[in-house]
Amino acid sequence: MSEAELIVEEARLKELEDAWDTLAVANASPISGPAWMLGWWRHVAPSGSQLRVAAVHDRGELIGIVPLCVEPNDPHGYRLLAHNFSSSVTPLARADRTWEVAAATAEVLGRAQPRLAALALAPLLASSPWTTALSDVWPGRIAPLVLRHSVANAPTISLEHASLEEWLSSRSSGFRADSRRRRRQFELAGGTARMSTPETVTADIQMFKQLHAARWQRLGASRLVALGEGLPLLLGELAQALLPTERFRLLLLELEGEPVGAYLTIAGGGELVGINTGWDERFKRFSPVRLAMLYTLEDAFARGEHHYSLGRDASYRLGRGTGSYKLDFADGNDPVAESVLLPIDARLPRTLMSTDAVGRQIRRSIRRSLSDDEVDKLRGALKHLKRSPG
Amino acid sequence: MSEAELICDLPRLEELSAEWDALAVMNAAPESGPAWMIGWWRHVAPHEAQLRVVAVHDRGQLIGIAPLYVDLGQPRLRRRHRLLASDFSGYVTPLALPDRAWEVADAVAHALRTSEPRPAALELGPLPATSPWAMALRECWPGALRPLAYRADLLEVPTISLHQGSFEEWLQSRSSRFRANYNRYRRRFEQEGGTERISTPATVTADIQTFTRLHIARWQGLGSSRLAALGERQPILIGELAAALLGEGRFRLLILEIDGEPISADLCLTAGGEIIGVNIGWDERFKHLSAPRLSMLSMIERGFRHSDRRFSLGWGRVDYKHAFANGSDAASWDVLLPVGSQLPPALARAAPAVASRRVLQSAKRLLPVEEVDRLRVLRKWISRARQ
Repeated sequence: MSEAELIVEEARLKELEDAWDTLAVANASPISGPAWMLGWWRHVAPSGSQLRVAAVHDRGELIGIVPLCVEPNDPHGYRLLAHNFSSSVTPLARADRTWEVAAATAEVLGRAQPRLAALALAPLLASSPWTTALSDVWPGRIAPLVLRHSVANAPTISLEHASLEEWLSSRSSGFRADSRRRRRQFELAGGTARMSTPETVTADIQMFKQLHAARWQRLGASRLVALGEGLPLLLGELAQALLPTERFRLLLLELEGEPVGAYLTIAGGGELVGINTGWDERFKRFSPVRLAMLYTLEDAFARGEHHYSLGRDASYRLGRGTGSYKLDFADGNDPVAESVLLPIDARLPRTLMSTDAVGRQIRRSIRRSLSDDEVDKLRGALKHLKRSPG
Repeated sequence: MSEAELICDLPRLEELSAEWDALAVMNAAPESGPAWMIGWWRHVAPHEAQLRVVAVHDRGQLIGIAPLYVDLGQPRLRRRHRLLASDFSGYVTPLALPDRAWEVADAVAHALRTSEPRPAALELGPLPATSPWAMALRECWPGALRPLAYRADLLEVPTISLHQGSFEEWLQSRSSRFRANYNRYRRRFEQEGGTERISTPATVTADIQTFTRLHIARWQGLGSSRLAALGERQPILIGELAAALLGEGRFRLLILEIDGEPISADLCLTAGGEIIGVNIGWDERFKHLSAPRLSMLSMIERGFRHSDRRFSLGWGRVDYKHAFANGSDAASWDVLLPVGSQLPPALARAAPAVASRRVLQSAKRLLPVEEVDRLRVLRKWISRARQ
């Protein structure tokens, strides 16, 4: 018989780190493991946030974990850890124990303080069973209301081919030729690629920070840059947790020893997740991001990974691309949904108002009725309005 | 760029069998492959049903398939597009290559939108609860407004995870009573001269006849079995399944015998490591040997031996399955109602079903488990009395 424990202290969560990480690997969701989520908790979570993690055990073994928190701006809204910093996050359970874990979690959340008014399950893979499971087993006379706010493209690459060359041969001739040409040019110019090692990682993280910040200086806001000195601390902890098992992969591109680009991915259970990138504008001609992707892919094929998740894409129309580098590389799409579960009680009307459900629905319908070009134009106009002084 | 093809005739569908089957294996969906679905189409489907299968290709390769049909024998306002074999299976689902489901859904939705008759309701179920198809088809459906969607049902599916450990370890994880019973049944079966065997190409024709006989005999007086109701078509359907799947070890018909006399026949299908039980027949005279339990245990043992991943015990009656299961999944029935002139009648038709599910759901939530069980028994009793 499984039992849920509501964890509110980071120290208790640390005790479960190994078992939690095992679940993240079993679920091929490195981003939902303790390294990433606790890193977020320590360095990114709004100050004043409180942990509300449901850990479910069966005969002493951790069979599932639902890592939640409440933030000071919305004390009755429970959210997944790292929700605003990840392409997708998810509760975890052993194979075919999801419903059991959901039932134990729902029970314990029903009694949690502050009283839960909304459970945001986002960003969650659209194929995830968690929203259905939690809604189905939620205690109470009436099942909670489930609102789905959005669904976004999340391009992926299947790594079932034996090597980078074999994968390239499955791509269009234009993409193949372009990839090979870029790589040849870079290498002819003295370019090299290497993965961080325990010896180089501290310096490499600084380099990543520098390249990422430089890249984003002209582009607007980057949540990583906004962390300031917190960024190397976050990445340092991530490296400490994952580098010994080679699941922290920081790829550095260098030209005769000078850094050109850096690309960070983390891995677990055959899944590779792209975190972020940084590159030097002066070397734009080499397309450092595309080059980094190629080297990272080559490394992933050599390690026998199965799947590469490139993160959410700015495409608004499902099934249609915008021509970004992610969509150029991707051969699949595993969309991410934003759902919120609202238990039925006296607070529901107020919670409903605060979720802007109607407004979101209208915006979605407008997007569906417009062509891609029109949506682009509208987005441009909105951005312009936002940037205009006053 | 992917392209959708609307298939309305069987010969064209049969041409795609090999690629379709590869998708079923990849998706670990034995009842969504061509052997089961085309078999259902030939021998079980309503007479006036018409195929509306959407096959999606990318550079000549089949990347996904939505095997649908529409029953034109139904009054116009009651017509729904449904998945083939949906009334005959534990799980059915559209199929796609990994991470291509949304691309396939987009192509399928556009193809259906322009097909005739235009879908007034698209019923997807019993789908695995982890399936992205209902959401994907809804999101990708063309038009300013997404189709309305509702969940007609959601049922538990007990499962046995086979990919970790061995049969012995699984047995150890069961209750001591379960283990003691198993040993007792097994011992008694062997003491009475019991043996078991899996059908081979040499024995399969006779074994199918045995299965048919035992299954029909078992169900006499017990109510309805859709398989038994097929009559002479039953051995033909199973024979076709065997012809398609036996060679690859994916048609598993287990026969238990006492001194050479068959006492039980249990049929399972597999694909991509997923095992599903189709049905069983057994001789009442050997009730004391608990043939169905012995048979299921033997199937589980074989699953471990064949490195299968999971044994899905199906939705339906779940109480006895819990003793075997070490996990659970769920099957959902989702309905999409595209927005258009046909929406009001479709909605009017759906409303009672939605309301009754809501009432049932709330009753389940309100009443203690024992009360729910009592109501269930009462409902069964009433439905049997009616028959």
